[in-house]
Amino acid sequence: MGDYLTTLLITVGIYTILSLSLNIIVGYAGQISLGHAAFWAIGAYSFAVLTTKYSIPFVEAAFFSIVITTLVGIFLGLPSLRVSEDFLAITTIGINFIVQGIFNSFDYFGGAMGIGNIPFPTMHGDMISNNTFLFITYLLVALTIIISYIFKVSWAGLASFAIKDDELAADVSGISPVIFKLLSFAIGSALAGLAGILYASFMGFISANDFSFPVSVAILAMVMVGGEGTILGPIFGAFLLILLPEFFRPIHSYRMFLYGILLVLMMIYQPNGFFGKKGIVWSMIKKS
Amino acid sequence: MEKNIIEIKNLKVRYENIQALNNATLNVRKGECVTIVGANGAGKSSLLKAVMGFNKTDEGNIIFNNQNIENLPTYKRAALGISFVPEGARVFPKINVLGNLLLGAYKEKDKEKIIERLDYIYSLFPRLKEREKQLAGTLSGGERQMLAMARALMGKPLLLMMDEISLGLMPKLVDMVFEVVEELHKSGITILLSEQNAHKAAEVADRIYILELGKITKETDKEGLLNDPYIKKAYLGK
Repeated sequence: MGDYLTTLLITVGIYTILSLSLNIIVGYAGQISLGHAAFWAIGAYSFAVLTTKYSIPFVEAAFFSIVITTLVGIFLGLPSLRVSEDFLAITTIGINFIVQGIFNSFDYFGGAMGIGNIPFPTMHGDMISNNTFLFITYLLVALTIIISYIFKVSWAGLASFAIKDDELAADVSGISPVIFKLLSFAIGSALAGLAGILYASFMGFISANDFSFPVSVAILAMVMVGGEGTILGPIFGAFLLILLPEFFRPIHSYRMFLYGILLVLMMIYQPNGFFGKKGIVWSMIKKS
Repeated sequence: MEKNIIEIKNLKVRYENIQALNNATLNVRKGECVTIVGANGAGKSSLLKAVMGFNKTDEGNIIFNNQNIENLPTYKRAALGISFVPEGARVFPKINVLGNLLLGAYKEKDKEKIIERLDYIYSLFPRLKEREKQLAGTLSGGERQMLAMARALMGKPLLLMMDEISLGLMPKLVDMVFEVVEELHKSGITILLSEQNAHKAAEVADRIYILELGKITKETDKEGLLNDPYIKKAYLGK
């Protein structure tokens, strides 16, 4: 497989993990988040710092990066206990700016220069090929899908859906909004951390600008375009929104313009996403 | 005499400058059906919400099953055995009827007990069995009210509180809902209702509290309610 196609598919895989992880927070628990790139960044930077500054081996660094991202995710999920909807959206935007600002300003995190020389995975002392990395990426995509599915059909998933549907009614049924909101932030941020490790390792260099607010918006768009609360939707959304600009490349002067128009039309005519209720793709699958 | 399931003592609740509850005191004994009757804005919903933990109490005590609960969060009060049917039949609209009912038994881990309770609920509300797979948001107003009550019962509560269950329902449905309340009462469930409809309150209640401007002004029984000249004039339109 050519390098371009491999890189493109790895990018799609990383964004699929990101959109599925955000779907757990937004689609299952109903906590709107416009700062998901912050969790992605924390995963990537934790891995970069642990491997380059402390020479911690790849697997151990990956493990600790996920733990760090999960803990920070729970901490950053705390505002969701006090604010909701548009207020939570603004709060999460603020979190994205703060996290990006910290990574951009502190020399410890490389400042504006970012962090380079992040290790690529090795096997028997040799760097693995891009195709092997692609295979690992999609194994992790499969793992993310399995986690999403288990969460969705579990009691915890039902409780999270209930909180999303009517928090007061959930509360009087003995379902703790505190526990399940934080649980969704914990799982969502852990998976975003995983995406961060993949990204940092594959790119070999990261800077704070990679995790800016527009990236968070793009991840949320993937979830909404595909269909929040579904599993196929965010996967489809990630593929569509990463691949579309590539298809428009021949008319590259207009590609972001066309991409924007498509998003607007999509939200007008398919507000629940392609795989959501009355979604065009989902309806076609059901008919066939 | 049966012991108190809940005792509310000198409860004060304030919304900014409005005193919603002012030294409200009442009790409900095990197996009783007690109704709080009052006009709009008297503080009925505020009282039930304070018991459930939605309203912060300024002063007073709420003792449930010999335990002070006024500082507990809502879900912990629910876990202790208080079920609440809020005004307006709050169901989970995007979850089907069965899912709604299962969520009511969230704390119960024994599958056999859950199935037993489901059978009991379906015997009380056969309509819900027919609509088991339907999304709750597509049910009629009356069916939603039934579902909200059924979900509350799935938790096998020690105290079932219901806020204005007749509100917005057509008369036939109101009768049906109160028939269920009567049946629940006969089966030994302890019930605390808030109701504007004093006729209906009299039909089902063992004791009735009259709540006016946040204060309990009278405690009476069914006969007392129907024969009191002031109550007849103020609440029964006679």
